[in-house]
Amino acid sequence: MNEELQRARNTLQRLASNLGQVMKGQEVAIRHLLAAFASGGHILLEDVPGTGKTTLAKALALSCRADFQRVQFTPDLLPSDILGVSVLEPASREFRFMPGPIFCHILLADEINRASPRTQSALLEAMAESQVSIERRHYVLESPFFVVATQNPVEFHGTYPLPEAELDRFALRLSLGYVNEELEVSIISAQQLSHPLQSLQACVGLDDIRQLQSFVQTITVPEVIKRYIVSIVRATREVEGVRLGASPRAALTLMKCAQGLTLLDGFDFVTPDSIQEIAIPAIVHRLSLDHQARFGGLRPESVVEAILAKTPVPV
Amino acid sequence: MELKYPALSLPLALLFWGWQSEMLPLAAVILILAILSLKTPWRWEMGMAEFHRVGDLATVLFGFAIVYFYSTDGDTPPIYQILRWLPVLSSPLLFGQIYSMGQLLPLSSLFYSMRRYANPSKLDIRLPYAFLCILSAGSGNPDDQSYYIGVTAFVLWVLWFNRPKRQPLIVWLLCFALAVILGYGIQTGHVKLQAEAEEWAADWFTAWEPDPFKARTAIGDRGNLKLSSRVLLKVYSDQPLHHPLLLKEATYDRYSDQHWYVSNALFLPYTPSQQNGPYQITVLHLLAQHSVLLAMPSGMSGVDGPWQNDLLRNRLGTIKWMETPPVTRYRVAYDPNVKDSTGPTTFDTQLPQETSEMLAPLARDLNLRRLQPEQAVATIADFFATHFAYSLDLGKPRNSGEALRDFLYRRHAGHCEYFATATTLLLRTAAIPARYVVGYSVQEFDWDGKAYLVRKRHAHAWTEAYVNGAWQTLDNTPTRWAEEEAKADPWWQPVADVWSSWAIAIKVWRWERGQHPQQGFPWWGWLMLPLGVWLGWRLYRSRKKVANPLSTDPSSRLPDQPKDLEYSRLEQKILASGHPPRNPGETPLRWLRRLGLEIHEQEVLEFYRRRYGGE
Repeated sequence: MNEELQRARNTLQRLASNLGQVMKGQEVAIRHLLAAFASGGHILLEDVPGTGKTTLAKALALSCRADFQRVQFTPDLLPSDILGVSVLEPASREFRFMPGPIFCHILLADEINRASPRTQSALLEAMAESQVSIERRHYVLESPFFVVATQNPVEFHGTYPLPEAELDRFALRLSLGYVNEELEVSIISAQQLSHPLQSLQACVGLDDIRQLQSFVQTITVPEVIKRYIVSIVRATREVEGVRLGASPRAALTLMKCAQGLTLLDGFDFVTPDSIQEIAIPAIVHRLSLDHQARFGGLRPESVVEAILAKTPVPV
Repeated sequence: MELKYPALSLPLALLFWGWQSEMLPLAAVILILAILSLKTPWRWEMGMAEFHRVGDLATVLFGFAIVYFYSTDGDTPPIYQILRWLPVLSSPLLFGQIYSMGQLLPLSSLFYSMRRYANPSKLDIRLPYAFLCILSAGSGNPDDQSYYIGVTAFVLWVLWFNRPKRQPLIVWLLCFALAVILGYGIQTGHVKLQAEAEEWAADWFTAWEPDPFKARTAIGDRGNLKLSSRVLLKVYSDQPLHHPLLLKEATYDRYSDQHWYVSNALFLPYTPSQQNGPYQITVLHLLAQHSVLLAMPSGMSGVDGPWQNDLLRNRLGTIKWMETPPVTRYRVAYDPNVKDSTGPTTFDTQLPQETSEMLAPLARDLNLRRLQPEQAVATIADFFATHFAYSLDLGKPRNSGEALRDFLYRRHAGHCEYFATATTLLLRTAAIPARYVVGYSVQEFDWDGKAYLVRKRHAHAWTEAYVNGAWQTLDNTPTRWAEEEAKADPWWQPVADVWSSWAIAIKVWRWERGQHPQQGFPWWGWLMLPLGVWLGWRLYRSRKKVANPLSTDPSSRLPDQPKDLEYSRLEQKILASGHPPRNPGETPLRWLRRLGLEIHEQEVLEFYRRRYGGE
């Protein structure tokens, strides 16, 4: 048990330090990203352009020798552009399925809210069940399958906001944000001659990732912690001003991501601290506030903060 | 983008307010308290509830200001008084902010609708408060330009610290100067426009107010005449009135081109007698004007009112009161059987040439010149009673000069001014002195039956003729006239009446309070007293609440006693050393880090292992 724990933790820590070489000053975002990655969840990166969203996803793919694909979402993107399409083979006079970019390990869905809802929804099945249904055939996606979607929180012209059902599929919503001045100087100095991605070496293999993901599921979650998670999630449904609270899927994701996070910290059991740390990125994107509350200055983050502050920690 | 608070804005605005609205001592008190907050280190630990209480206090003060200013009748309208006191009324909000730990005011203390949110936005009230002072300074309104200059200077001061850094300074200054010039132009233009509009409106509306020198009749004026049901007078009488009682406001003796004038009528100071008569009425006059004409029944023997030697009277008996209050109450004694016997003048029989020619055929038909005066009066009355009808709707407007001819020879219908003018003029053709009188007819009961109501549409005109050595009242308008007028009332008139009677009662009450200022403890003080006690008690209680977390008994506050004995001991140890307890939503590890007690981290991790690791 301990040996397995050590190995899984090693995998995570090597990934964290590898990502840290490329993404300076983003330790918290890397922690959360790895927590979601280890627990098999997908993430939504919401940030302004140029903060390193694509670099982060690429660096993760490079670090674990994963097959990486990037799809730039545009309004005219079709589901078949992502999933793949059957074409007629002239020689054999048969239709042959040409797999789309979704058949990979790490998919970067860039500016996901620019595509039409129809195309956005093509991702739903793949994200939830790791399989794709095309022309009445099911294709299972190879594990690990990890989606990093990005969207720009500032510009809304010509976008289709993600529906609640789709948002609920993302384990965490993260944002990288701007780093401080010193770091920004060191980032541009580091990239003066070459991009750090060019010198990035793989540190783990895909098998390590598969073992990591199956190990994370075995991390202990005591009954009191499960009750703590459920009471936090249920509390979001009773806050005045919240139109749509967090779903049971949110509770499940919160538990799984906390498992990943706790492993990164070297524990084989989930602590209330890891729940509190991951609760905001795991819940906020699932909350829908009513107009009055939004104009009254209420933000989903403050809803979750208030709930965390008043939900008694089981000691 | 939020405006930055430039230093000194608040003191400057407060002093400006104090200067403009002549409240310097109060401004100084607020200013000193505000400066003290910079000099003293102590602050209130204000939670959301305390901020809300501060907001409530400001609301209550505001409410009392409304009640107080509307219940006393000062020189300035209540709304200006409230505006003038705004900085005082909202000062609790300012002090709540500057004396609190957070140094910001939650918006929920201003808006009730935001109180249900756990974490409302916060606001720095200092700049809004400074602007409020500037706004309030406008209520002082000295005639010079100091207010505009002050406002411009203040806005320049605030904007200077918030000017855009991307634009050249000269562009910014030019824009500001343009705004100042435009603002000045619009302001002065607006004032002038308003003055013009007021003058125009006054011309329009006073067309129906009696003018003691000139009565502009509506003869031939409009196709359809409609007067409002607004209550002008209330008449109280001890005994039933002779129905309908006519109250005379003004008398005219010279006619020319649809207008009645008063000839040679100087208003001279008049001291009314206070004799008693067999009948007495009290008139409540509700016209807010600079001067009013007193409505008097004929046969008036004495009148008593709140005037002080400022009554004027002309030779035709029209009584004018200068500088009237908005509400006037006066008591009149009269005897309807006593007639005025001052002789007529030559004006009372004069007729313009063309009018005389116009009336000549009718006078001939009625044979007026050969009849005795009494007979002539009766003949004219009979003529109007048998051949004429009352009508407010006169079809399309007539050529004004022809209106009277149209009435007498063709249409045979009109309103009281036609009847009164025609009667007066016909009497004059018979060489009987006659005058045209305007006033009110008292005939409608108030809804509660305690008084008579005189509405604007009860305005009436009639004739006085000098027959048998005295002035007799002749009213040849068909008696149905008041019913005809009342038909035009909307269906909700009774409700409007009840409402207006309350409004009148409040108006009278305010005015009478203003007349007799109360001595001693004011009535509203008794209302304030329990409220003050209640607020004080609430404040006292909230102080205790704030003090509570600092007390040293930790066991009473912990939400859940930890089940782990070792951790429990650790917790007791930390609490015993004077550290604040763990909040219910705080994990033990975070609590330690908050207190800076990382040395105990290992113990807590051990506890975690036991508690959550299933060991």
